[in-house]
Amino acid sequence: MLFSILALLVSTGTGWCLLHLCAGVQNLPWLLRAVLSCGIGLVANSILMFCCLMLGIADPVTVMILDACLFAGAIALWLRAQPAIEAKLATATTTHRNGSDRAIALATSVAVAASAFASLLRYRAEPLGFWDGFAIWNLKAKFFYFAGGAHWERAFSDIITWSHNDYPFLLPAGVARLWNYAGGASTAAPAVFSLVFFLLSIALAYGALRQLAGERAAGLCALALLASPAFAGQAVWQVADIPLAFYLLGAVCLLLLAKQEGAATTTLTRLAGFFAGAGALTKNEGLLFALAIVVVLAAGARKKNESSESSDWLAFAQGAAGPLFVLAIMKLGYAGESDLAADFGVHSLARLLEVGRHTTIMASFGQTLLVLAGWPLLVVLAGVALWSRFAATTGTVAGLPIAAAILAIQLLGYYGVYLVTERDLAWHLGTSNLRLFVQLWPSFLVLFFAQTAAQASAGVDASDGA
Amino acid sequence: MNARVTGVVSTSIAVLLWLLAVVGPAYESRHRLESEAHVDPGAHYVAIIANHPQLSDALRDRDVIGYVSDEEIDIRVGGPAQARYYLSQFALAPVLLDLDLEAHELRLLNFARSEAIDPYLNRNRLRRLVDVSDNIVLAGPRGR
Repeated sequence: MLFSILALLVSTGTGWCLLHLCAGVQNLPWLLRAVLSCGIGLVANSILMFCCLMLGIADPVTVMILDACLFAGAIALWLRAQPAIEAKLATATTTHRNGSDRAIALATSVAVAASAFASLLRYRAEPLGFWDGFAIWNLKAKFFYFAGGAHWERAFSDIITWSHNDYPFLLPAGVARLWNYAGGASTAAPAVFSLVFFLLSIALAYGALRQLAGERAAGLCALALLASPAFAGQAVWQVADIPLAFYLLGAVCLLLLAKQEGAATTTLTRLAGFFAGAGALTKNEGLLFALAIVVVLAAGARKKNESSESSDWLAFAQGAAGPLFVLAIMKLGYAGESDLAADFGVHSLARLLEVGRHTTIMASFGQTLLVLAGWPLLVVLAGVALWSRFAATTGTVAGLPIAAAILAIQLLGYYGVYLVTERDLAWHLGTSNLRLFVQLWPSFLVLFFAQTAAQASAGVDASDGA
Repeated sequence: MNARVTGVVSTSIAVLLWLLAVVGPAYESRHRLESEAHVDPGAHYVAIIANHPQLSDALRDRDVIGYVSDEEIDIRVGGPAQARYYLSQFALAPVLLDLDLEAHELRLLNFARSEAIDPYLNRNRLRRLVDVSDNIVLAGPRGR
């Protein structure tokens, strides 16, 4: 367990150094930088683990030595780049907390601790996590781990197509790496990995929204996430949906921060691309998300015909290129065929016209939202929306329409897959819909609270001005 | 809108959200602490198979073996037979468990009814190699 935590610290340290090679991120608050660093480091180490598997050198000692080399290299690059970056630095912004802000931060911390404690007890009772945890993700991790990864290609065997042998590797490679550090395939390592992504998602939503809309909105958003029963309930499920939610949230928040920061747009947009690429390395739905962002940014550039807008999607594509390149190697070289794609045929398109399927999907979406958030939270969110609308309608967050369009395209993509699926629709919806909503829920809440905070503050400004 | 009103409203929302965020986990934690003996049976199941020394020895250096159940395994329907198959595969990885039996002289029998095991062995001219539990047997060809 302690060695697994050491592996996570090594990842965070590596990510910290790599993140700080990017000029412009130094102005972000330390919490946000720490969270982004951990996300970046976990991607870097998972890719390194996958490269070790491909090269046949994934025994524990080699993996740890290469991790240490990557960390040392990142430190060396960071130290070398430091003077040049400092010269470009603008004055770091400092935020002052008043008493009420401190109270919200404290209340959020207590809620995080309560949720983490409940998750640990849940892990103790259900150490294997959710069905997909042992049937897909940790099963792949076992192939990656045992015998120094000698049998890793069996994770893509046609004998176990039910284990989705086309799914990407970030999560299983990360778990196998933790097992290498821990010296055994314990159930604790994947549970810790899962819980870390849950906590990172809360911290990222909090840190980014604090920068975008202030401490109060950040605290409310973090509390809303913790108050979402299905989201908090999946903290130790050991599946890829919360890690994917984290990377999608990272891409959305970085795009919003890029729009807010202005001058540092290219760096933050490139980072957003990296996070979206990391999402694609986590689960296939991440590919759709990356594509959705490119489409929205390119459409925005075409509409406005501005060079800054057109450079946005190029910067995004540059950031996403690294993770997507590694993903392409895995997909083309090793992965099996996607069962969804294999089942799909031209005849599937006839289902687009079946009204009953539309109503079934929409009803399921509504029920899923209710399960995900629970009606008490939905009532509170509706109250917040009504109040902020009553307060004012003039305020808005820069980049929010772009982010909302991306989430809408992603949701539309899910809807479209359900519409044409060859599988029994009720079964398909019942086994996946909630987890798909979990992937988008943190991003949705960040947009929701960013917008309501902007409207409320616009209302206050107008009132004070009058 | 007055800043004071905004502050009161947002504080009220924060209190409501905090209650929602804390009450659920607190209730769940209390429930789990009171019933701490309960552990998911799937975890026991995996532990029995994964930690069985004779089974591990018999499967050493094996890439793929067959897997048989006395109930239909439909991966799109679910149910106990499917759960047992997935848990067995998880427990025995990196050995692959193949539902297509033709090419495999070793087979892991994982039956819901223990009385169905011997008839299956006789019918297929197999013998018991390792008895993992009442219903789980590693079987191989006779005459060795």
